[in-house]
Amino acid sequence: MPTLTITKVAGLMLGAAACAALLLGTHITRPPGALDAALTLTSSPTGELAVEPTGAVLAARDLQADRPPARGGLTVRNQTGAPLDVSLRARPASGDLDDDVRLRITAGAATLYDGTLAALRAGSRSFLVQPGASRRLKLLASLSPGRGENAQGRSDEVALELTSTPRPLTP
Amino acid sequence: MHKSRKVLLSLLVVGAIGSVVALGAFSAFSSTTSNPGNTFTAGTVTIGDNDANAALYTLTNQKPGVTTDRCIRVTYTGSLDADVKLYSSAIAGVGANYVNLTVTPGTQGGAPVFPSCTGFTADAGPALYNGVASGFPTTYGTGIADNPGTVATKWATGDSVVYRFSTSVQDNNLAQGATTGTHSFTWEAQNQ
Repeated sequence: MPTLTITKVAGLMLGAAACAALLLGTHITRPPGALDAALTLTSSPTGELAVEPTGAVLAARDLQADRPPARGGLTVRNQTGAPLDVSLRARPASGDLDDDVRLRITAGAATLYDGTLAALRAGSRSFLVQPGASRRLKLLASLSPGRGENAQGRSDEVALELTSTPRPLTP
Repeated sequence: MHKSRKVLLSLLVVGAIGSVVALGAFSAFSSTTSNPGNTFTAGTVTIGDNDANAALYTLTNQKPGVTTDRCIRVTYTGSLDADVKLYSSAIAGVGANYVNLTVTPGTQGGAPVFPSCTGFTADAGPALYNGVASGFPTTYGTGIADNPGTVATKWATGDSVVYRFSTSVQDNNLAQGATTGTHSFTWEAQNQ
């Protein structure tokens, strides 16, 4: 009888080991490395504002948490006869990177925006452009802290929509 | 072992075997495919100009034989290809019959500011409108169709055209002191 019990226990352990080996053997391991996130920012002129360049103003195909920010820029020119308060809004095509990408927009020393793509849907701070004058905007895009895992393999094309409001001329 | 316990155990074994057999008997090959991530976004029709809500012209004390040129840039930023027509509100007032108006499409280089025509180059071909102000079309249906350049058949994203408005008062004594009512010009885009 004790021999039979030992055999049963041994069989049970052998079966359990076989099951464990089977489960571990068929588990698909994650490949080494990480998939990059891709982001393209575009801009187009409005009636009141000329933009240079048109189309892609920042193109990043390899956004990763441990890499330096992607850089881009555009020049906005006021082609009206009035001073304009200009701001930008994000219009993402898919919104897949809304909370993953941090965007910083500067005009000279002034920071117009520093935050997620999602929050830029509400608009940036405005900046003044005099009639016939131009302002150069610099763009920096990076993955938000702790969002690298979430952003893997995602991509989006975001239109930076320019809006302008004439500022009343002071007498 | 009790007889009833044996019976119960037998039933259990038979039930288990029956379940396995049933699984085999009623199982079937199966396959599915899915199409994820669908979205739908409507296109846009958006047109703008560089007037910043300022008038193209506010002319006073005009004399015969003097032509005043003013330019406005119209830019299309919609995502859908579009047709664009130009029309005005009714140009009323006695003066509307004595003011000549010519509208010419073209391009403008350099860094012009509304409503300057510096650097304007007219497109080849006739003016879009050349007549008295009172005769300018006032609806989209009768409006003046125009496309960028000389070969385009539509307005696409990023297209822009500069329109030169040339105004002069006729050399006619009846025009003395005559004025037009306030009027506006409209470029209306409709997707193709």
